[in-house]
Amino acid sequence: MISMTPIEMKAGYTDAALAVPPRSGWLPGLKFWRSQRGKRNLTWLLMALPAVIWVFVFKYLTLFGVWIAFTDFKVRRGLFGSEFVGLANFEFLFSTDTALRATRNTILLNLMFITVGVIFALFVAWLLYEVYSSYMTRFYQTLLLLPRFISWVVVSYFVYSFLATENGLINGILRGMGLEPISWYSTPGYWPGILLAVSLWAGVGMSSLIYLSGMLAIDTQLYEAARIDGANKWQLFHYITFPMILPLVVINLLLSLAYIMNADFGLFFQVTRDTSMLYPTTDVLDTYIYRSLIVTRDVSMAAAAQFYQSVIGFVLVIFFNWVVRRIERADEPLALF
Amino acid sequence: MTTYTQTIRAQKREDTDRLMNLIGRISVHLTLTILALCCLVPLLMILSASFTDEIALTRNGYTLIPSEFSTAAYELIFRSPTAILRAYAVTIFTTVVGTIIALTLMSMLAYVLSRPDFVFRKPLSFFVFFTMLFNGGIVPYYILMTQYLRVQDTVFALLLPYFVVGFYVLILRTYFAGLPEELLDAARVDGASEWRIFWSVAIPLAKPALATIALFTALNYWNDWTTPLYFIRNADLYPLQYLLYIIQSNAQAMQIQSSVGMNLGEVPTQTARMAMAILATGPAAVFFLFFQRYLIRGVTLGAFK
Amino acid sequence: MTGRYSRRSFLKGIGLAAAAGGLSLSGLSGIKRAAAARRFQDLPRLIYIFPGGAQPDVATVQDALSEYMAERIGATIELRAIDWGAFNDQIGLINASAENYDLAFTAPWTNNYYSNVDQEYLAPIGDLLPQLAPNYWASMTPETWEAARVGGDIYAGINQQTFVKPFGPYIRADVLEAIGAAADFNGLSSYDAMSPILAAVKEYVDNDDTLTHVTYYLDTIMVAENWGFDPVDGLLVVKSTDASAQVQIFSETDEFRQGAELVRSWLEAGYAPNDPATLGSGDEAWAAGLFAMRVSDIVKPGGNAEAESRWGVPVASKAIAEPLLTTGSVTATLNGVSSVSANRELAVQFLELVNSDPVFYNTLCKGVQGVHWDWADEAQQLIKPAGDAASFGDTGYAPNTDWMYGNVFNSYYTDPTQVGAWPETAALNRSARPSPVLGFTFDRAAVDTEVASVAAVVDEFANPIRGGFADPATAIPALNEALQAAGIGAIRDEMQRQVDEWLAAKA
Repeated sequence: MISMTPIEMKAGYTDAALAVPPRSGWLPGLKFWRSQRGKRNLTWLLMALPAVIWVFVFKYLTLFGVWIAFTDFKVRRGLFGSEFVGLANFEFLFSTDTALRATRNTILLNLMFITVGVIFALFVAWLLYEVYSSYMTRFYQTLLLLPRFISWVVVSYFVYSFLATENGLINGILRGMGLEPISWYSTPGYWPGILLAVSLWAGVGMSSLIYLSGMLAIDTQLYEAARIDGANKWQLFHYITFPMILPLVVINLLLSLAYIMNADFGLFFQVTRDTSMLYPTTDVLDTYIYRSLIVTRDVSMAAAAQFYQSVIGFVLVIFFNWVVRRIERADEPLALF
Repeated sequence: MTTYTQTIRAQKREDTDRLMNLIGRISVHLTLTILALCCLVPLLMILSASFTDEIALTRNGYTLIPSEFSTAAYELIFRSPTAILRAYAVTIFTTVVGTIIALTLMSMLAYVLSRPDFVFRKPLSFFVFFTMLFNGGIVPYYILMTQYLRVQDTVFALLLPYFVVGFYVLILRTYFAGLPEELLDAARVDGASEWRIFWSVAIPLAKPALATIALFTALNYWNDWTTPLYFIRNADLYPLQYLLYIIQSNAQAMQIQSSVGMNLGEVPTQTARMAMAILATGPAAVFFLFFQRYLIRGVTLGAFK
Repeated sequence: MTGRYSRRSFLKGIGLAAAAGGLSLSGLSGIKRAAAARRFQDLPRLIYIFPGGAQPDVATVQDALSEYMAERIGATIELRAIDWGAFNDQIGLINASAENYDLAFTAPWTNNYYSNVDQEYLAPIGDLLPQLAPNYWASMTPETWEAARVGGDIYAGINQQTFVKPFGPYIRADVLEAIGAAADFNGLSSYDAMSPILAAVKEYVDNDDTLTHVTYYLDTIMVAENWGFDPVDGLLVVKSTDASAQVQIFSETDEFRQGAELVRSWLEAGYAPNDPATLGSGDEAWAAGLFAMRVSDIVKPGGNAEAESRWGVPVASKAIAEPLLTTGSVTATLNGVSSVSANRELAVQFLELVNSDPVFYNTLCKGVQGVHWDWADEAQQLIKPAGDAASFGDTGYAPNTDWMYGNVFNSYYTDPTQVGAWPETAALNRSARPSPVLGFTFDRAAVDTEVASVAAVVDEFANPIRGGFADPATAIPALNEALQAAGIGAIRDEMQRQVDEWLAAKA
């Protein structure tokens, strides 16, 4: 199972001889619960119960609030006393070119953040793993986590001190090299790159940790065996490390897709200093919604926006989950459910 | 404990190989050092900015050494040192207790969801995943917390919200699913109960993953300022980040108000922000630096035999 | 829990800040409070919620106010301050979950008055005010009261304060003196006429070591009031001299184009940094002495002294825009009665006290005489911190938000340079031209999708014009096109319909 390459996996490898674990289904009969497996299942249910109760109380009991998106909500009239307005609250999400551009920006930027983010996190995790026994690693890891504590507002001061047109650090360097200074805050074209860099900087400490802990769980004997066979570093990564942490990568990608319509508001609002001349590339759904509703503070439209973002993410995850199920091996499930 | 490097040394005897290996290690260290500096230097500049005079900071920008030393920002924040110390205590308490409870609940659920022959594996995974996307919004949540659970103005309001995070449960589930099934089966054959297998076999094996999720959860508690924003009115229960936010927002609001008859004086806003970033980051970073080793130690494997 | 022993203050000095010590009450006042509590326990207790850092000594003030109220209206008060950063969220949730309270601060800019009315969070008090608050009701003209009327009733009491906010330039006094243009500056009557002064300042700045620019941003020139319009809602404006109240789209007017061209020419002349991201960092840079002028800001009595204390440099200012009384300026600060309150009448009586009784009002604003403040000069209504406190902030009670509670013209002066500012402000209010749509409030319900779309579009196209970063010749048509596409025409038509209806009803 270890030596299987990603290519083999994509081929839809299934081995009928392998004991296929029973697919989970709906309530089995009494006979099942009396069996050895049934008793195990009962213990597991008990084990899961506290968290399941919490999720039910905090997430499901309040779920009726979703209905707000379809009404002209007035608290004093109650949720179901408020007038039903169908999809009217959703209109502003589609009504203008600006709205559609925000949707496009959100999807494209998120796709970029997700792909580059995963590759970069894998890379950093691998670097850390390579020197994991070194005492320096403690410092690397701690330092990489620091940006996580710095609020976007503080980051925005920083980015500004680098990019300010007249006294920014970068333009100072450009001038020193005899080049024309760049008006960063009025040139939208640079910003996908700038925001990507900032988001990698802020996030890599955390995201690499997920993969690093996955790598630490790999049996080192596998590497030893492969090395005796003359494998080089890249081959070790390609044939051992990557396949072993592939389930983590897949889950991470699937869960990221769930949030494809949600952008990090702080990143896009604070770091750009909400400079309107940058909107062509930096205006995302969250900033668009914020601007739209700051005037009216319409609860129903806010609920509609959130519902819209969730539904798209939901549909995407369901679809890709289905795709993953088609290609995963039965003994090594990768899908969410 | 057989480590990767020791293994290498044992196997690669030829000088050229050792040289290549050395170069490889140096370049790895070099890359990591550059990345780490990218994260450290801004923090040092923030530290320096927090000790810079507000006006000098605006004039001269950010520097590694304060261009004009001043402690005004810290004086503003430490007008009431007891408040800050109490806020640290509240934050440390919620972070420690909250993380322990959350990690227990989430790892139990995640472990169960990772069992291939758990009959409700898929529906229950979906049950958890669904909550990542859909929620009823703040108003039903507020009514639940204040009118049914009645936890407003108690420490429970600060603890409860992060007990189960769908994303973490599903990540943990993936780790648990990767554990060698033979080990669990062996324990089962030895007559261990499911609880015992979970605590004595699965949990120790999943330590790196648990440490990671513990860190994520701890950061959620440490950085949380929206929960107190909604549910805490008693200043004794203000956590650190919220107290800092309140100091900042009160100062800012007073500066914006322009009404005749007020001498508003000079308020360090930018430097105060920097000082707050330091106060919020410093202790957590130091803690992490020293305890990280204990969190992940002993899991450099080979232990799977 | 709010407003008790353990809350800390974040105010310090007449300035502000974090926190004096926690338990700062003397034993004596503790005993007094216990006695007072026994005496008042049968009376209804009004809960008044407003934004502000908690004051260490609020209990003393609360007892004094309660005693005063008990004798006059048979009720007591609980002052519940919610920190600034939390107020808007917490009051929103208190309202949404129908938690009990009686009075709350409301405004168009926090705890939004109009959505509170729309959501039925506030009780209609239009009938109660003339009956139960006769002095308060009489202290403002009927037109002024109209401004608080939404859809037929009044839902909050208006705080009498600086209603009129004429805009004009501020300049550092030292720079003005150095360029010898004091007479020109004081004689300014239009922004066009400012160009020579700006050129002279530019020359001065270029030869100065500290100053880097004439000004940091130019966009404030482009507020509608500067060009004689009442900004009814966003870019929809009515000319102050237009009795027929035609609703116009500001960006389609000649005045907007003139202003945009002026701003553009100033930016091109190098009077402000050519960097859109500097917008908003003005206060810090002004305090750091990096620029010499604010081209357009609110000019008001006492404004120069306030600016000097805030930024540390003496300044001169000159109002250019005509003083205009609009719905927006009148309703900037209000206090409403909750629709869940069981004590509506008592709450309105509280509004009467706080708006027409200087003793009661100043106790709420400044604290108890002898404990928190003493007279410096009673004839001038000038006070000083009580005892040996160095500043009001050291007395344990200095919320410093007189404008939030009631009629600021009753407020005692805390600084000799401010003495006389209130009669001057009152005169300014009286001299102002009432907007033809003073008292009109736009109901957005019928066009809320368009309002949201326009709000999302406007900044992108309008901000570069306002700051001078875009060429008006091409940018203004692009702005107008985008606004039309977002549906501003429908909003304009709806507003015009409502204005016409409102005018007809008034006639």
